[in-house]
This record gives sequence, C-alpha cells and structure tokens, in this order.
Amino acid sequence: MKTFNISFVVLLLSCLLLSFIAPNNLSISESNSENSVNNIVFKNIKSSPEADTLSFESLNRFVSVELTRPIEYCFEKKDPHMFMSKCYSRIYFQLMNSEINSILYKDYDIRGSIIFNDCNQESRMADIVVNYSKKTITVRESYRGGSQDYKDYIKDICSFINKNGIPK
Amino acid sequence: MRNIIFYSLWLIVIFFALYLSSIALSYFSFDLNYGFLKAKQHLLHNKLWLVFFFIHLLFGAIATLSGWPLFFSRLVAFKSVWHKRIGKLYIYSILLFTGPTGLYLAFFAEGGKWATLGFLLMSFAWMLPTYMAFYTIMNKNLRGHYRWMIRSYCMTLSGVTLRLFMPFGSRIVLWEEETTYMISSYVFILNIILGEIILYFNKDQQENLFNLIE
Repeated sequence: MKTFNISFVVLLLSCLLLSFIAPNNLSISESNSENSVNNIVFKNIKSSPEADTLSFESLNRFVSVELTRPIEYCFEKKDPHMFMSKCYSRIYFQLMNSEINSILYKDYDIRGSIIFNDCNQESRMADIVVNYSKKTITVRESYRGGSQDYKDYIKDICSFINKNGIPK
Repeated sequence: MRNIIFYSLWLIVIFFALYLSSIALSYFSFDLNYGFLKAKQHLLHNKLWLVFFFIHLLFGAIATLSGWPLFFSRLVAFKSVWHKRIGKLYIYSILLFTGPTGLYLAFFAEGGKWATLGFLLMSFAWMLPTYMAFYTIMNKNLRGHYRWMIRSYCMTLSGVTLRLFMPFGSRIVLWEEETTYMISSYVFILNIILGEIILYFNKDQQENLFNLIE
C-alpha cells in the first residue's frame, strides 16, 4: 500500500507538471477564437429604434427558426451523437462580409451563409438571401444550381441526408 | 415493485455505460480527424497529449465497463477471486491511468481556464472516492468499501452526464458554445449529489447486504 501511495502521488505530480511543457489553457489568451471574433463583429452591427431597421438578433432568430433549426433536426435524426458529443456540431447563420458593418433593413434583401460547424471545422452549406418583411429566405447551395425557396431546400437536404447520411 | 425500480434503474445505468464506452472505443480507428479530435487539430503535434488522450479513452472505457458488474453479487460473487480481479482492473484503470491523464488533459480542455479548473476538480473528485474504495478494502472495511465504490462509480458516469448536458446547454437553454463547455465541466457535481442520494435512500438494502456477506 505504501509503494502504491508513493507511485500514485509521483504519477499525479508528473502529469500535472508535464501539462506545462506545452502551452495550455493557463498560458493562452482566451479571446482569440473565431467565434468570439464573430460575436464582437455582430455586436457592433448598427441598429436603430426606427421601425424599418432590424437587429442582427431578430434576423438570426428568424433564420434559426425557419431554416437552420429544421436542418439541424434532420442531422440530429440521422446522427444524434454528432450533437451530443463533448464537441457538438452546430448549424448557424452568418452575415456576408459586406453586410457586417451596415445597417440591416427589414425591407431590403440581406445576404449571408449558413455554416455547418462540425466540432470546430466550419464548412459553408449554402448562401442565403433573407427578406425579413416578406418573411422569405432564398437558398443557393452551389453556383451551378439555381436558387430555391427555403422550404424546398429543407425538404431536399433532409431527403438527401436520410438517403446518403451526413457528408463528412 | 421496489426490485423492478431497482433493476430498471440499473438497466439505464448499464445502457449509458455501454454508450459511453462505445463512444470512447470508436476513437480507436486512430482517425485523427474524427469526432472530438477535429476540434483539437492544433494539439495533434503534441504527441504526449495524443498518447494521454488515447490512454484516457481506453482505460476510461475499461473502468466504465468493469465497474457495474461488481455491484451484483449474483453476477460476480463479492468474495470471489473474479471480484478482486475485476475490482483491481477498475481501481487501477482510474488511479493509474484515466485519472492522472485526465489531470493532464484538463489543461487543454475546451472552454478555457474555468473549464480547466472544472475538469481538474472532476479528476480529483473521481480519484478520491476510488482511492478510498481501495484503501477501505485493503483495511477489510467492507461497509466503507461499498459506500466509496458507489461514490466512485457515480463519478465514473460523469462522462455520461457531460454528454447529456451538452444538448441541454446548446439546444434547450441556448447558451453560447464557450459557456456550455465551461458549465459542462462542473456537471460532475450532479453525480456527487446522486451518489449521496443513493447512499441515503439505500441504507436498509445495504444493511441486508452486509448481513449476508458477514
């Protein structure tokens, strides 16, 4: 028991000390992740209390309810583990670069993309154009294919995933 | 009725133990672009991290799979050689492999400094009852051993709680990614509480069990 105790303590101390050989969480600044950069950018989007402008939060909520959530449900059905693991996957809306620092208007078309983040590996699923007033989202998955209404897109991608699985 | 509830709860525990182990063992295809490793591409050059990661997974799965049969005397008799063998496998897996490597990996966890602190506490909170279970049995204290083993196995299942918590944080409460990671490193507290609840409500059954053994 005494030998075991000594070995155990030595092992614990070694593991603790070894963790400082390479840069770890205690030595790296936390605010350098891509997501935190995006959050700062999105928080800087100008919105005014006037009725014709739109905040990013409202726009994001709309896209999320109408488009990204239904797609996520299809993914979850096919592979629940993807969304339960320690490093879960997400699908979210991102504004196009040119729109990031501009005022968002309800009546105008707003361009962006839906991003599939699979455990920090991002890939763009499709480009979208949102019109908040008309409550429409037009999706263009690739430049070879044409644009389609988001409801048709959800049907298409869900049936594709059901048949072929989630693309890796 | 009580037996039905007892065995139903155990079936749930066994299901989750198998589920957690299958996740851990799925990494042994050694595909470095699979699952959690996708988020850790910046650490793959660190061979020590990679080795510790695989040790943590392998012995974590062994501990999870070897823990639950030890509670069933009909499956593995309490005083049998097999109980001792499997028990040693469980205890050594945690104290010599999964626990210490968990301490190392905590410093590289997703979620920053607070997550590191959470996972360090989690590792200690797992190793302490396991060590006490070992210490008490070496001193022939069966009651103490049984109670510490319940606490230890509850902590072994904190990996399950962590995975169940992830969709709760990210899908239901809609926390930010960093917040979900950070809070998830503290969900082991629920397992500690669960262990104490089991011990509190299981006193009569424990007494009957010890009377049978002694």
